[in-house]
Amino acid sequence: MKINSSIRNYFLVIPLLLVLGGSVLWVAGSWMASNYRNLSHHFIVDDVPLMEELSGYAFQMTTAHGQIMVLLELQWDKTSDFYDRAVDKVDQVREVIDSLDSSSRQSEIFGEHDEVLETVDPQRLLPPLRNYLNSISDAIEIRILDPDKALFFIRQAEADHTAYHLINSQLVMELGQEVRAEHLTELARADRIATAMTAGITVCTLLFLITVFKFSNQLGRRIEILRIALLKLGQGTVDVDIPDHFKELELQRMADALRSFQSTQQRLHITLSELSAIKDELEQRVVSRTQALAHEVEQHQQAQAQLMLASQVMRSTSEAVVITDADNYVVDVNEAYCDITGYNREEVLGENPSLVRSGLHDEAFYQIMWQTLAKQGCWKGEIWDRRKNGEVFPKWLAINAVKNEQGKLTHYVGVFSDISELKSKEAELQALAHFDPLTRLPNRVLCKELVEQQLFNARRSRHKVALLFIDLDHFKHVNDSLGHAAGDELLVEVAQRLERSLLQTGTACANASVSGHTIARLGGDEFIVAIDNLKAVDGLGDLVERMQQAIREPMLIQQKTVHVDSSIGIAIYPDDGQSYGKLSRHADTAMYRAKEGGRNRFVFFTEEMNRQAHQRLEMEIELRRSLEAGHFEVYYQPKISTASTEVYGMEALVRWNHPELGVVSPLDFIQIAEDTGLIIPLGEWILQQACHYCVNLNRKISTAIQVAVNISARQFADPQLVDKVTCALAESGLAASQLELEVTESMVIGDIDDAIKTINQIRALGVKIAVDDFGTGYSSLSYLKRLPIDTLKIDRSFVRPLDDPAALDDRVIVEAIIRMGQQLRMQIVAEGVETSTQDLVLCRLGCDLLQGYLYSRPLSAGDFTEYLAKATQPQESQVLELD
Amino acid sequence: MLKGLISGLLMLVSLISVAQDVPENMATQKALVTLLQQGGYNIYIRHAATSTEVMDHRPVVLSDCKGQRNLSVKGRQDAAALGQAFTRLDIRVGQVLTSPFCRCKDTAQLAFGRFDIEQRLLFSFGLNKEQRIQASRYLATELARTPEAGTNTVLVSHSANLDGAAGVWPVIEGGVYIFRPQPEGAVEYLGMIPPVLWPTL
Repeated sequence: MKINSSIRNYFLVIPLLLVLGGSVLWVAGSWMASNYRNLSHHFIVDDVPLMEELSGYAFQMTTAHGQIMVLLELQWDKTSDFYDRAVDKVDQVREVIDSLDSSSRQSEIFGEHDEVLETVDPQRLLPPLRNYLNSISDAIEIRILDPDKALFFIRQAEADHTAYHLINSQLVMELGQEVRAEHLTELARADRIATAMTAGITVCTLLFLITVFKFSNQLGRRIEILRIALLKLGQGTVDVDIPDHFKELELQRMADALRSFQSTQQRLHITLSELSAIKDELEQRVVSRTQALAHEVEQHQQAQAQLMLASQVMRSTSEAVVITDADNYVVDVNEAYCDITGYNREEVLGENPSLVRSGLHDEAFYQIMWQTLAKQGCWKGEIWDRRKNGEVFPKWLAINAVKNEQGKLTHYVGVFSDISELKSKEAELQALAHFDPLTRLPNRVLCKELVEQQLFNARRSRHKVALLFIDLDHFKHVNDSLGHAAGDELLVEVAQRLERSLLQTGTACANASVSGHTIARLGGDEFIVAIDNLKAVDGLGDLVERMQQAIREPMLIQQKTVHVDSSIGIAIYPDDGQSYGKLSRHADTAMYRAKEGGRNRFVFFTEEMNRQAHQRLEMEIELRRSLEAGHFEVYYQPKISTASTEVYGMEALVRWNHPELGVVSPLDFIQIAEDTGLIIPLGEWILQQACHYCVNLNRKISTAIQVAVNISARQFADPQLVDKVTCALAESGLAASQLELEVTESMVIGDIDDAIKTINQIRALGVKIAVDDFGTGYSSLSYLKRLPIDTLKIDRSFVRPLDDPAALDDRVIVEAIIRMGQQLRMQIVAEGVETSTQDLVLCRLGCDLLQGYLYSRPLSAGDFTEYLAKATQPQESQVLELD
Repeated sequence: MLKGLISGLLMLVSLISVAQDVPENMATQKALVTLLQQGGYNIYIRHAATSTEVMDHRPVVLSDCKGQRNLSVKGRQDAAALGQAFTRLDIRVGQVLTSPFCRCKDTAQLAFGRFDIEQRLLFSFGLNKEQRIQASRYLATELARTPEAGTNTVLVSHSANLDGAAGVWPVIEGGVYIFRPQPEGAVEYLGMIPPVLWPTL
C-alpha cells in the first residue's frame, strides 16, 4: 500500500507540473497581448487623432494666413469689402484657437514600466496662435488706418505664423518619436517574454524527466522480481510462478499505472505540440504586429515629409535659389542654381556668391545693391553673371534679407532666373521693328540708318548717291475699288519689281553693287530708293525710267489687271544736300513737283523748288512776327445806298504793312494765314478793331453806319466764334445790329446743319449774316432757302460784264439774283462797281447797296473818317467824281 | 420688427448709393445742422483722429489706456471743436453712449463732457462672429430708437461697428454720421459731416 501510495504521488506531480507550465505560458501570452492591445489602443485613440488634429490646424492656419496675406496685398475700392473678407479669415484663426482651447486631447509618452515620461500637449500651440491672432489683427487694422505702416505688422504676423508652424512641426515630431519609442520598448519586452517562456518549458521538461527517472528507479528496484516473472511470461511461459508477496492486483495497478503513464505521456506530447503551436502563433503575431507598426511609423514619416514639402519646393523650382548666412557665405543652393550657373553644390557651399560675378558691373553697382538691401531688406534687378564655363548671362535677381524673431539678420535668400532667352527675344523684336512687315523692305527707321551709311561711304570714296522718293499715282483708287488686301498685294509686287529693276542696274551705273543700294518703304505708297556708287548723274534718268516702266507693267491683282504709275523725285548727294534729312526732304519736294506736273514722271530737285518752299516758310514766320508787332491795319470800303445815295455801311479789309516788304496783298498772305491757323488771332483782332472803330464813328456822326467783317473758313469752324463776337461787341460797346459778318458759300456747304446752328447763334446776338462772293461757288438754291441769312453779295465777276450792253446773259443772272433776294427779303449788295454804267444798271435792277472803286477804294481809319465827314455834307456828286 | 429692420436696411443701401454720388458740399452739411437743431436724430460718431504710434495691445485691457491706440493731438482738438460747434449751433444732445475704449471715451468727454459706457459699442473687430452679430443688432436697434423729444442721441464707437449695423463704412475718424429713426424699427441715413467742416458751419 505504501508503494501504491508513493506511485500515485509521482503521477500526481506530472499533471501538476503540466498545468503549472501551461498557466505560466497562458499568463505570459495574455500579458503580452494585453500590452499590445493597450499600445494599439493608445496609438489609435490618442496618437493618430492627435496627429490628425495637428495636421488639421496646420492646414487651416496655412489657408487662412495665405488668404489674409493676399487680401492685404490687394488694392481695395471699398474699405468695407476688405474688412468683411479679412475679418472672415480672422474668424477662421479664432476657430482654430477655440477648438484647441476646448480640446483636452493629449498624448503621453510611457516608459518601460508604464510610467509617464513626457506629454505631447497641443495646448503648447495656444500662445503662438494667440500671438498670431493679435499680430494679424494689428496688420488688418493698420492696413485700414495707414497702409504705409502695414508692412511692419505684416512681417510680425508672418513671423508669428512661422513660430506657430515650428511648434506644430515639433509636436508632430515628438509624437512620431514617442510612437517609435513605445513600440521599440514593447518589442524588447515581447522578446524577453518569449525567452522566459522557452526557459520555463525547458525547466518543466527536465523536472518531468527527473521525476520519471526516480520513479522507474524505485519501481525497478522494487519489481525486479516481477520483471523476471514478466520475462518469463514474455518467453511464453504460461505457468509462471508468481511470488507470493506479489499480488495480481498490484500488477494490474502497475500495468494500469504503466498504461496510464503511457497515455499521459501521449497526452503530454499532444499538449506540448499544442503549446509549441501557440508559441509559434504568438511569435507570428508579434512579427506581423511589428510589421504593422513599422508601416505606421513609415506613415508618420510621410506626414513629416509633407511638412518638409516647402523645402522641397525650393529644390524643385525652376528658379535658382541661393541662401547665404549673414556673412554672405553660401549655405545652400538648389538644383536650378547648379543648372544655370554650371557649378555643383559642393563647389559653391561656403563660398561667397560673388564667385559668379561677370565683372560687367562696377563696384558702385554692388554698393548700391548692398545699401538697398540693408535699408529696405530686399533688392531686385537685372544683373549679369558668369557661368562656370565662362559664359556671361543676364539674370533677374531678387534678394531678401531674412531676420530672426529678435530682428537680427540671419540669412540672405537670392532667387533668380536666367533671362538670356528673354533678352535674345528682345533683340529679335528689335530687329522686327526695323522692317516693314508687308513688303519685308527696311522701314523708315532702318532706311535712314542704311542711307546714312551709304552717304558716309560716298563721302570717303567721293562718289555720288541718288535718293529717289517714289510715290504711286492714284494708289488710293486701287484701295478704294479693290479693297485694302488688293492694295497690299500691289505694294508687295511693286517692292519686288523695284528690287528686280535695281538688280539690273549693274550695267547702268559703273561699279554698282546691288548690295550697296537701299530700297525701303516709308509707309503707305511711298518708297525710297538710294542708288549707290554713282560716278555721274548721266544715265540715271534711263535707270529711273526703267524703274517706272517696271512699275507700270500690268499686274494681276485678285484676277484683275491693274496698271499703276509712279511719280519720282530725285535728290543727289552731295549736290542737293549732305544729310539724309535734307536729301529726303528735297527728294520729297521734287516728287510733289512731279505730281503737280501731271504725275507719271520723275523730277530732279532744283534749288528753285527749295527757294519757293523757303519763301512760304519765311512768310509764315513774318506773319507771326507782324501779328505780335502790330504791322496790320484795318481799311474800310464804304457801301452806298442806292435809295438815298448816302453811305450805308462799310466793309473792313485787312492790310499788312511789312516794314521791309512794304504793303503785302491779302492774296499773298491770307491763304498762308488760313493754312497755318494764324487767321484765327488775326481775324479776332480785325473784328475788335472794326467794332471799336465803328463805335468811334458813331460818336462823330449822327447816323449809325453798319460795319461788315469777313470771317474765314477756319474762323467759322472755331467753336469759340460766337463767344469772340460777343466779347468784341461787349468790349467795344457796339450795337449788335450794326455788325455784319460775311461768310462764303463754300464754308457753309460742308456741314449745312452745323453752319445753320452757328449762324443762328450769331443772329441770336442781333448780328447780321451776309453771303460773300455769291454766284461763284455752288450757289445751291436749296441751301440758300435753308440758310438764315440777311444779305447777299453779288460777286464782282458778275458786275464787271454789265458794262457791255451785249452781255445780256450776265445782266439776266444779276437781275435773277436781285429778284430772288428781294423775294427772300434779303438785302442785296453788289461789289466791285467801277463804272457809272454798272452803277446805273444796278440801280435800275433794284440792287440795295453798291461797293467799289467808283465810290471809294478801301481807306485807312483816318481817311475814312474824313471821307465820311465830307460825304455827310450835301456834296454827294463830288464824291462820285472822286474816282 | 425684423421686417422693418430689413426694409430699413434696404432703403439705407439705396440712400447710401445716392448719397455717395452727391458731393459733400457746405449746403448739404448746413441742411443737416438745421435738422439736428430740431432734435430727434441719432448721431453716430467714429472716435476722433488717432495716433498709430501705439496700437491696441491684445487682448485689450479696457482699464489700461496706455495699451490702446489713443487720440492724437489733432483728434483731441477735433473732438473739442465738435463740442464747441454743437454748443454754438444749439444742437441739443441727450444720451451720450460710448464704446469702453479710451479713444471713444476721450472723444465723448472732450466733446460733450459726459458719457455712459455701453459694452455693446465695443470695437467689433476684436470680437468673434457671434458677438459681432449681437453688436450689429444692438447698434441697428439703437439707430432706429427715437431720442428724447428735442434732443439727439450720440453714439461714439468705431469704424467696423457701423459697417456691420448700417452698411456705412465711416472712413473719416471723427466723422459725424446722422440717422433718422423711421417707423417700425427702420432707419434712414442722412449724411455725414467731416470734422474739418465744423468750425465753418
